[in-house]
Amino acid sequence: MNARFAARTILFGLVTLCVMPLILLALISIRSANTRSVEVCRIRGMRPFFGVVLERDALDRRSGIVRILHGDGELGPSALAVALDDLLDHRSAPSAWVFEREDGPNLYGVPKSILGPGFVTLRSDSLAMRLGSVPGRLREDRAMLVGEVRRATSDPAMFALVGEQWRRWLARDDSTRLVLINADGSTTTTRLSGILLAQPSPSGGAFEWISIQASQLVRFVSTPPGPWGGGGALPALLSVLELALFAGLFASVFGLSTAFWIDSWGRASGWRSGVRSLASHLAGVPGVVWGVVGAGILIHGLGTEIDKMGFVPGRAVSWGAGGLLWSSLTLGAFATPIVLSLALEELDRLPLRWRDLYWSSGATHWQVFRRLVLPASWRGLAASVLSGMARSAGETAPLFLTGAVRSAGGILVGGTTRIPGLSGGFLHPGVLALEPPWLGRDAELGQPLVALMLLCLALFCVSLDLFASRLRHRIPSTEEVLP
Amino acid sequence: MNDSPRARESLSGIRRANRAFRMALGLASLPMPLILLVVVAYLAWGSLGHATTTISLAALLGGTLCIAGIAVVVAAPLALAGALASRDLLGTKHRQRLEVVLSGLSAFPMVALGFLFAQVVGPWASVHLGISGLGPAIAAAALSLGLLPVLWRRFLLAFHEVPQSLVHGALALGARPLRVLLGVELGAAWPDILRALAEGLARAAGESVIVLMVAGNSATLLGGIDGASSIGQALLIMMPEIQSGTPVWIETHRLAFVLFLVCIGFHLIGGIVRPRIPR
Repeated sequence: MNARFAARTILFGLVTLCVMPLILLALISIRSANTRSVEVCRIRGMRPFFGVVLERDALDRRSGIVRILHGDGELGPSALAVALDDLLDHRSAPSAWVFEREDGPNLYGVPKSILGPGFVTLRSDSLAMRLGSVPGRLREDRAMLVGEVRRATSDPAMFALVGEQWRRWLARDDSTRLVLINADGSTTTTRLSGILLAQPSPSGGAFEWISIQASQLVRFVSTPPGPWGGGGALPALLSVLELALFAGLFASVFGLSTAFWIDSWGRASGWRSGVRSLASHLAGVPGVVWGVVGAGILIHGLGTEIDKMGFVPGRAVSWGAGGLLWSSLTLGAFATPIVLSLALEELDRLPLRWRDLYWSSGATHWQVFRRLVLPASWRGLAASVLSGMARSAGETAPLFLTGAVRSAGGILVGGTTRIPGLSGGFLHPGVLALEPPWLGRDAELGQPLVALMLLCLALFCVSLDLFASRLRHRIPSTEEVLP
Repeated sequence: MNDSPRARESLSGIRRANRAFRMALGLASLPMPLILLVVVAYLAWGSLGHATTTISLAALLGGTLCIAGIAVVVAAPLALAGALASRDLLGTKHRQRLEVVLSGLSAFPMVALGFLFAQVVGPWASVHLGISGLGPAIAAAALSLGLLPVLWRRFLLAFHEVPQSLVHGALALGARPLRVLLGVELGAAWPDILRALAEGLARAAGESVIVLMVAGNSATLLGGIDGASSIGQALLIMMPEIQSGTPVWIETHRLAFVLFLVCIGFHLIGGIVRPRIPR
């Protein structure tokens, strides 16, 4: 009984230990919403201001320092480091809002009115409605005008006309401003079109907390990172998907073909055991070595030569500086031996007597492949490819050497959104996580966002592998396979 | 055999399809052995030449093996305990489910573990345990957590392959459960366990991102050995900055070649040991 209890405890403890990283990542990610509860802070020798008192980490607690995100919109360090004794008071400010901006750090304040041509709004409910829709519309107008200016560069008359429109729009944009009341009663203004997100400070209700978490998650997976630490991680998440798909495609073409060839023609010879052992050894080669080989051959070799030949004149495409294509090929080479060895295991699971039945009736290799091997083992083969994709999607070291970058890269779509291109740098969660500061200058806000990105990456890899295992465990019956 | 023109046409179509199938597979299979040749040839070619040695290969190799060794030494007993506990407690269905979960967790990205250990576990350990928050000890702990599901699953499979007739026979002859475990089950499963350990060592030796994030650039091994960086970490730091053909380029390729040989060597040891031990 005691031994059984001990075994149960060990099992429970170890399973918890294995799952703990996922739980920890989720807990850190949740902090991204908590940092938005604005407070009025009073510090000795300073005027009261709106800020967010950051959760003190262990090192700060020991040294008696508290860090406060200072939301006054001025440039400089985003978090004030204040001695704990100097913090006189900090209390919740439910009427304050958080404003994420494209041209400066986050701003905290109570919205008062909108100044500018066509705006006289004083009622807070209509002001809130306008803050949700007007800045986005203004940015769309701007993107449209920028597109017209670009198109008109070849026609001087049209360029002058559109240029005049652009100047008028800029003047109007500069005078359309949101007025905010600060904690000390003074006012400050900010450009309305530059507001990326306007969100009231949460009052602490459970429903509100859940809705904020949900809206932040949706925004996180659907928007690009903002220049000042806000925004989402759409390009980085798209990179993960693209890399996994390209690597899976590469590995499935070469890994599965080799597995089929060995299964059809290499059974009798020593090829089978030789290639199996080769694949097993290659599957153990670390990602960083693949990264060195990929960077050396593809970037410093092939990419540089392509750039010298100048295949794409007039366009700023550089294959010699790395990119998603070279990274996917490197990851594909990394995943191929994994896919091959798993596919060979799957093909081995087909009973030999099934093949013998086909051979004895005079079937060709092609017929055995089409009628028996493919219908009986396609699930297992798909599972092999998915497992290879899961392993390669979690690798960061090869990407670090073959083109992943820490600042925004990729193709600009729709004026603001960047999607990863085949050449040039691309964002990746693993590379972003390598060292702080993360996503702009607000390291304190960036940490939960990086945790959320890594959580998405981890869930993608783990669920891909779980799905593969689910596919793999279904073995077809004789009636399903044999005619 | 039907000898009609239609049947002959159909037969020739099948033969053509078979020939095309063979040719397509043959062509697509070529890259696999080529990849190995290219990797070996490229790393060997890149390592050739005279380089003014500024990096101590012995220190880097020592650091790599030490961190990997500690990670495996920590993870292996836990994985063994987990495998034994799950073998005793779980039925076939639950054991298969656990295998699936462990396989999924094996795909957990190491960079996420590195982030957690650098941001959460390291600072916590420095305050509560009084050890350096960033260093090889924490890096080895992170690696061992990454290796735990991998080794646990392999050990579970190894125990599953032990014939139950052996176990039942030993019990029927009056052997105590501990003796059956040590003498029969571990005796039959240890080639697979050894192979899993060798492959786990290879995987731990090749992990670079965790060491870079957690041990940083000035790693010390448990406060005893200074400068115990790993090869993977050095490659990550050096490779993005270098120009091809320079002495540093040659050194970097030498390091990559050594890491490649170390990992292949561990796999070879695991592969050689297993077939030599009779069941």
